[in-house]
Amino acid sequence: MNRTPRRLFAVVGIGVMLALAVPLSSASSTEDDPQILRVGVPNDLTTANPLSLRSGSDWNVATIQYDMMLQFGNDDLSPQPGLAKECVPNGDLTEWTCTFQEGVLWSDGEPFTARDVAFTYELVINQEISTYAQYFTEGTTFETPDDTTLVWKSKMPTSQPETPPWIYILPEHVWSEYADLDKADLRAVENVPSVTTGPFTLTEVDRGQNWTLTKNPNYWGDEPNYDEIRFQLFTNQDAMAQALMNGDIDVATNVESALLPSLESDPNITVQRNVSDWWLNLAFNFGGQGEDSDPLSALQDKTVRTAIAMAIDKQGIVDKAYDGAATPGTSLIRQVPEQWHYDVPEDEQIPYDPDAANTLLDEAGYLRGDDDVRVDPATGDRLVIRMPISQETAGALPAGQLLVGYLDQIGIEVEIFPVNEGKMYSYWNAGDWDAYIWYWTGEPDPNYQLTTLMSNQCGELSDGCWANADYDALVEQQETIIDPEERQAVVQEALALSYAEVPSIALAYPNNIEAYRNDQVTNFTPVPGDNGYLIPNYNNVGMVTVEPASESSSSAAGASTGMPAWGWAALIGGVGVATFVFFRRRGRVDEEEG
Amino acid sequence: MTTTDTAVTTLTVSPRRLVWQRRLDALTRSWVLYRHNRQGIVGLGFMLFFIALALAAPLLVSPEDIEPATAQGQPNHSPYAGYPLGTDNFGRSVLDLVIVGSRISLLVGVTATVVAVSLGATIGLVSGYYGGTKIDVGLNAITNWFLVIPWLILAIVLSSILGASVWIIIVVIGVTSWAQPARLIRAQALSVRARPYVERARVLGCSDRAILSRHILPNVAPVIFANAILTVAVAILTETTLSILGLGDATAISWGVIIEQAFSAGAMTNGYWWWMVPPGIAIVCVTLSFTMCGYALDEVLNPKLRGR
Repeated sequence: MNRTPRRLFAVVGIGVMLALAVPLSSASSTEDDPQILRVGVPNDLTTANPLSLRSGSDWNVATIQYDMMLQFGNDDLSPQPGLAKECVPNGDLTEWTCTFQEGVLWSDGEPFTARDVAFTYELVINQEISTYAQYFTEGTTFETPDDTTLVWKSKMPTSQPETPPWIYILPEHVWSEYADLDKADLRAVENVPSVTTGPFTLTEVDRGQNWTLTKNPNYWGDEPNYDEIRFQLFTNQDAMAQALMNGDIDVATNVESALLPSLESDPNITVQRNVSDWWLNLAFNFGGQGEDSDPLSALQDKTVRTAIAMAIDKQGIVDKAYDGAATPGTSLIRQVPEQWHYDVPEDEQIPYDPDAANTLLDEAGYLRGDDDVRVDPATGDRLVIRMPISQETAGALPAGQLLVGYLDQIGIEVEIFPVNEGKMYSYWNAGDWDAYIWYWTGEPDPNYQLTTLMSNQCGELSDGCWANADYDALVEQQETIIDPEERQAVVQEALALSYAEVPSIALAYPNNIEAYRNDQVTNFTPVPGDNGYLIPNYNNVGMVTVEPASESSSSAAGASTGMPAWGWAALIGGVGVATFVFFRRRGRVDEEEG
Repeated sequence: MTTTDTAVTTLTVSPRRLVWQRRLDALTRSWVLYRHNRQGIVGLGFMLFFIALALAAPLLVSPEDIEPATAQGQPNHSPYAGYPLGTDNFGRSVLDLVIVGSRISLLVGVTATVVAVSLGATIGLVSGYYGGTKIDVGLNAITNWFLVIPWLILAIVLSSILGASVWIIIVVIGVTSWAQPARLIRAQALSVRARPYVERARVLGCSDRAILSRHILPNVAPVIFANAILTVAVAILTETTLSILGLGDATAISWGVIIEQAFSAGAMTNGYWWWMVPPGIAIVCVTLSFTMCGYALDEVLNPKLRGR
């Protein structure tokens, strides 16, 4: 027994040290020589190669560095002059002539020419880079009669040059040596330090830690106010929020909605909520993909799917899964950009009405069995939905937990399986699921998003192999329409159809949340519109205009909104006791073994 | 009942009955010793309380109150009337969650222990009985291998490959924590094996199996039992650890899962102490109670430890 007190002291000692360590993180220095914008991000940079972008951080970094031919407009993401001043089509839209700015230099001092654009597009086509190749119709060629002119020749009419194609232009004099590599090797090119036309170039990457972009001295636009942008990776959201509150970083991106109460109560922090570039989707499986695919056949019945849609309280999901930082979902295209979003008219809306859903199912013959779960009259199967849920998608798990209760009200049982991304793909691949909750993300142009529900995408982009000939026809039709208003009408018709037929349910359009210290940084340019992204997602204008706040008050007020002291004490005490018990037990075992 | 029957039972006691009588006596003696062990009684009290809580949970908490869709409380609220421990992000009472969580936590703790200890006991017994032979060397090597592997990493790898469900967590904990008991039981079996009556049994022609099950197992059983009680505490902590790391079954409410969900809902930063502290205290109390019982049993059953 006489050994115990010493161990106890050790444990208490560790506890005290932990307690002392907690308030140690304090405000950092303010005025350094180079102006550095410090950005906290939760996703690591997986690649700096614009041909293999994957994570959100990859896109941020590429967008800051590179320019597209035409760029997305600040307000509505419409095509605006960038490297190219304009693109003019001929009469039948098979030939587009793009004129470029003169005197643009790459960050290494080489002159930029139309040849670089042609090189990049040809590289994308030849290497079949799937993310980008969709912009080019079969047999597209490019000609560069002089340094500032590109002629885009398509065999069929196309409006893609004005989409605009979301392809970052690479320098031919650097990338030509990689052009003949295998696709895998090409996509593995490290590209650090990079050569770009944008306001910054990537100069340093410490994977899993941080990465730094440095001002491009040859940038063709206005000179950025910051000399460097340093991204700091935070694998823990709480740590990122604390760093922001302590002033260790200036901006935090992709903040979880759960942290809003703390951030919004801090007067030095401004929170920016915008319509995220992804949304939460509930997809149904119609079968057809995977050998073991045996989805619940009742889901083929539109009545059942409609009843499910009626039983889901989307506002409840917004409030409880996203703490209010989202809007209820309707169709495939979220509110950005506005012109492609389909605002479902009142009389076409599927209302939230569990009672009506019950009536609907009763009338269709799906009667409740002894255990209160409905039975399919055609097959005799109980209505039990096996529902994998992507655990890494923000809000997906709470939404799934809510769905269990919502569908219980209408006599449908839901078994949820929260799994990681890899497992989601294998479920999808095997077709071994009835419905799942995952996310969708796309580009401003609606074509890609609409394509995902086409019947020919079964096994490619389609979630559950839904097939509807009318829908296919509408999507194919909108692709060929050049006139924006005419196209809008067809796009909305397709969206209305896919909303009414319920092949999937858009549960929520979550907000993307960014937060910055208004005492350290100011003058962002949100894109698109006032509620847009601060850290570039569509164009890099914001990184040029952003500047240090004038009166940068050095006192980062440490208004602690964290756990009260006794909460910490209880936690540390608990850990201490547990450790103590553990050590004691281990000691005992050792004694006995010896 | 005839007179002859009565005569037989009073005069000669059947061997089986004798054995049971003796075991009962031993148990009573142990209980008397245990009763005087304050640590043991406190631990037992707590343990019974939590077991009763787990069994009574369905009576105390209605399913609607812990169903995210139907919970009535205000989300993320500190303790208020009707919600003595506050609410979580779905507006569920944290008190209800902690009560319901006891079921999964104890279920996993006890079942995983059964898996671990039966695995450990079998391997330990066989290895001890055949001490020094090739069987022993082989089994010992396996045991050592599992002892050396960092259990947490093994558990993380296993649960991420196999997926997250309560039963898989049980298997994972079982597989990663049998080696310690196996070691202990092997040592005990080695010493029992050397006793004269085992030799006598062998001379009388008992098979290995009979000796193991009739003579060695009963003598090792107390050690196995005491060890099992201690293993429950470790299993509950392991389940908590895995859940907090996000490797648990998020759909089954256990104390670890409650803490994990509190973490991911920003409870640390937002200061939702009412959501994190109660399940933590529950874990500490339960593991402590099982550990205290285990120590007390150890002292009762192991004369060497008595009086320290």
